[in-house]
Amino acid sequence: MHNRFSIIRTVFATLLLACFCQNTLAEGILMKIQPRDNEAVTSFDGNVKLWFSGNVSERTPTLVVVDSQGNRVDKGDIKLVIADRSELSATTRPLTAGKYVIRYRILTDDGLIVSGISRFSVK
Amino acid sequence: MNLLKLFVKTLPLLLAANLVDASIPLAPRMGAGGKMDMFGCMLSNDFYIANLAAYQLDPQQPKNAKTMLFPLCQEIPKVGETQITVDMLDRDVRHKPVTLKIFNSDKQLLSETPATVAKQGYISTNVNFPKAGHYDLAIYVKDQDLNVAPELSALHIPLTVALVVPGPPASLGNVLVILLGIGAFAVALGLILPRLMKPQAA
Repeated sequence: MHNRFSIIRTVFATLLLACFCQNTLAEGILMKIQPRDNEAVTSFDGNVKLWFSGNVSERTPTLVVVDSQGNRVDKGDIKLVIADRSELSATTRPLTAGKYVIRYRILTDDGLIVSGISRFSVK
Repeated sequence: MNLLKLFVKTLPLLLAANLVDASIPLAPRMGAGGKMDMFGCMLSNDFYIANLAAYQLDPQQPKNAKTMLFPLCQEIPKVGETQITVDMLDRDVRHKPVTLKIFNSDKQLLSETPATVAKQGYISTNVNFPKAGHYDLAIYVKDQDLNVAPELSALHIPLTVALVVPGPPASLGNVLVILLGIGAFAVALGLILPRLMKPQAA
């Protein structure tokens, strides 16, 4: 009898903990980036896309693409679609062969900043 | 009854666990435009994002006063000595040299920090604003990843000094209501908990 109560208590406590801690799963995480980090692309269609999980906010997203000389090659037409997997995208001018760097940033509703750098090259 | 006791015992722990994941900022404070903002004074451009806090010590206040300085945003109420602190929020920038410069409206340099790699993100400088007016806080990052000239990627934050009359923001009342609500909840919990925890006669 004592064991039975012990199991019920454990299950109850675990369920409660799971419910209260669900916010930890809601933080923004970069799920996917296209082109992938360090990918060598043979035919680049001019689209840069990033997908994030979590509660992405509309506040101050950014996506910049620069070439190896530090010149911006994106068109500044950033677009953020908020969904279960929020999509941040921008297009670039036609790119010549070379190395490029993407700088991105989104904010979550909780005030967490997800930002970073990703590299790709065009062959 | 055992389950109820267990619930009452674990509730504070669960609430605490729920708060642990809260990221910055911890409390609403003065934001851009003089409004209270849960994000604080967060300012950004296409490249970088930073949180600004300006502190002014009241000359009338005794040196040993234990009152906390209230962080100001872009509207600085008085001329004189001011500490400007920025928190570089991009993690990669915390491995890159950052320089702060403060210019007056004639583009004359008032203050400049040496290039600093701020592992914790914070960089501070002191500046003496000589007169009321508009100033420019420029944050330059030597970004080896992007190779963009620091002048092009610099985050410029306009500051106004002694140009606004400080007053209580409209939303301050909401913050007080929330604080009062939390206080009332804590008091109620303090009264109810001991009764529930009291062992009952069989």
